[in-house]
Amino acid sequence: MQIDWVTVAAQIVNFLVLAWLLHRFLYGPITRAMERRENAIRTRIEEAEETREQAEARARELEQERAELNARREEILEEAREEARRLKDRLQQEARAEVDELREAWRAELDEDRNEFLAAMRTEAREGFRTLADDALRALADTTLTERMAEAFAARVGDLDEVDAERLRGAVRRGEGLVITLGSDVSGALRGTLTAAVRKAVGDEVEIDIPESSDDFTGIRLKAGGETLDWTLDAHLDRFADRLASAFPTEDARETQDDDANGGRGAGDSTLGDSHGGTAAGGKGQASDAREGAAGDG
Amino acid sequence: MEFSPDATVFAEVGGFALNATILWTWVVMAILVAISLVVRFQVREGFVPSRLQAFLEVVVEEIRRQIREVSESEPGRFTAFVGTLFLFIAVSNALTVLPGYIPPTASLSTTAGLAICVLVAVPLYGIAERGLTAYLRNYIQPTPFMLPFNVIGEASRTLALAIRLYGNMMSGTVIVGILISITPFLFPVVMQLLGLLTGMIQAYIFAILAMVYIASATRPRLGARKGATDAD
Repeated sequence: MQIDWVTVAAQIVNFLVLAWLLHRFLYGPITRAMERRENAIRTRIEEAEETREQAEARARELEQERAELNARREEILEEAREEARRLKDRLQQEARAEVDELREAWRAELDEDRNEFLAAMRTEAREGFRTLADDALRALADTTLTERMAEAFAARVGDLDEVDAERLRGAVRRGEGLVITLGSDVSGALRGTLTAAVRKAVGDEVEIDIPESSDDFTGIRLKAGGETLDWTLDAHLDRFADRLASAFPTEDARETQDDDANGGRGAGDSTLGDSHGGTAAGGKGQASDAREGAAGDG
Repeated sequence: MEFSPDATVFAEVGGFALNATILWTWVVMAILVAISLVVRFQVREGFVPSRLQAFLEVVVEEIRRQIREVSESEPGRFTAFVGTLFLFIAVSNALTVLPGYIPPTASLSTTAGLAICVLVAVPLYGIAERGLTAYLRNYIQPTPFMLPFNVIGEASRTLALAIRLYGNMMSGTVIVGILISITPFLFPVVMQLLGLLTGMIQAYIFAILAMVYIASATRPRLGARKGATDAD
């Protein structure tokens, strides 16, 4: 075991040189690289932490916004429901009003058609009856309905009660002339017969006018100012029209009948029986009906 | 039988003998510096370093960690001295696997030189850290009567450093030489592997002891700390 002091000195120098070289080329660069990497990692961690905090803050904001939106959504939905409810009610009311209007128009049209139908039936019945009676009398009795009506008129004017006769005379005294209107054309002889019968009942000095015949009615009508005496089929035709009207009631009457039927069926049946009874009693005599009508007009 | 590489002289220039110790020391130095230069010029600043850089980072960081644990302070200026001690001894011992290589640490001149470096470095670090007076006060702690013993202790531990490393490495070389003459193949391989382990352990021990000595010099002794505490 020996020590070479020159070698010792050389090794000391070698070691110091090596320490300096390693310090310069190994420890320094490696340590700095690690420190830079640590700093970079620390920076990234801090950035990640900051980003995470921002993300959490943003998440909280979004959560709050979502909660607000949810609350607002419920409010908007409630407003929309209320608006829809109001719109539905308004549309229902409009539709109901339109349906009512259409139904009223339809009813009015039905009533108009019904009235036209009843008027046409009344006219047809009057013309049919007159034609039938005229033809039957001409064929079987060699006379006409007009001649028979004129003779009957003359006879009944002569049998006027004193009240009616006085009313006619009063009208004449007031200067109101007499007008005899017929439902069909008459001959001159019949005109004379009618004029004579009326003058006999009222007075000879009375002026009597017999204008052209009218197609508005069947029979004879005597007018003196505001006084009128009818010997016509109008009352019979009116009853016939009433029966037809009963057979074809208006929509309102039909609804009323339906309501009554739902409440009690017996009342409707009795009304129908009365109608038939009236028809049978209608043929008793024209004169009394005519007098009732004259009294009513007076 | 000559086991000291100091005796193997390759050349003599101006009275200076270039023996095997110095030559192999330069080889070790060249290897270490070459690797350092490679890493120095290929340092990657990114998050993924190269494999060599990663290996050296592990080594350097482990050295720093050991220094930090022993000194209980940041490695800082200790790294170059202690780290170089470890790397030089470790590489010197590890190269014994090469045929014909004689580790410089098997030379008492090398271990004595390293021990002298430690002997000088300890007071330098102590004075730099604590000041000349505070450092010299260590030698009279806990009482001035301990001065000769402290000086003897300082010298003896330096001698122990040198002898321990030299003895281990020289004995390994001697044993391998003897075993080669007895059993040419099997035992030398086993002893080489054992020598690698012993070399690493010796490098660690030498560096750690040097750091312990430096750390003890940079901190007040236990008695002085206790007295200072009582004075406070």
